[in-house]
Amino acid sequence: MAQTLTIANTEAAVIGVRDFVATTATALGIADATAERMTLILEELASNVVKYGFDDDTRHDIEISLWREDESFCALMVDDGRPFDPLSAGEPDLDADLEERGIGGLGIHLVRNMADGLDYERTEGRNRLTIRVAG
Amino acid sequence: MSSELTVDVARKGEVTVVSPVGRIDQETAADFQATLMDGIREIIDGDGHMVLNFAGVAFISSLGLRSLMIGAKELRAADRKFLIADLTPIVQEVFQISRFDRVIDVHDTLDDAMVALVS
Repeated sequence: MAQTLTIANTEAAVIGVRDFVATTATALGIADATAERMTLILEELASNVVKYGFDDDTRHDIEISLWREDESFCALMVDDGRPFDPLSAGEPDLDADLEERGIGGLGIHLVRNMADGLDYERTEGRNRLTIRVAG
Repeated sequence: MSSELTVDVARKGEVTVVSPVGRIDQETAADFQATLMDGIREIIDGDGHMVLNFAGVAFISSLGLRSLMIGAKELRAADRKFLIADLTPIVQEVFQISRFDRVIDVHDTLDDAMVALVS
């Protein structure tokens, strides 16, 4: 059965993701290194939704569910922000020299490279991203 | 349980060694950046170079990478050196994926970094 955390779309609320992932991982017997990868992925994704997902000032919920599937640690993140498919986001230029390289834009790049599976769907006005990290 | 990060700053000759211990994440990245930039400003206003001892960094997110990139650019612009030593496995993985080794001088140990600075 999945464990679910619902957070508001604020920077402060994103901080709570780490404890939720750590606690759930321990309960499910997930290895620390696998849990840390999932923490990084979910922090980056939730932070991204908070920063870029909404045009209004009202509270929105971001729902994160975690479960174990064989040796993998899986998550589903659901939000009603603007449509955003991390799989089709542009790549940062990682070959540039220090002087030319941008200072940000690495979050989604990390997500794509740390996850062993990413599956995006937009249904009923919501982004639904399923994440798998192999154990 | 909250993330904790302590940052020790020590001067060894003309090298400022900054040693963060803990997690550089959503909760702590702003403080890390403030401490890092204080150290960098002191170097630029005075003399010397910076080595980051990352042996105690258990986690870094893109917010932390952003701080490192800003620091690296400032020091490069001032013609000062910026080295990072002793990455833990997950931080090493994050560095590889982000190809930070292309833009920041990474060393296996703090001693290696100190030797590289004087040679």
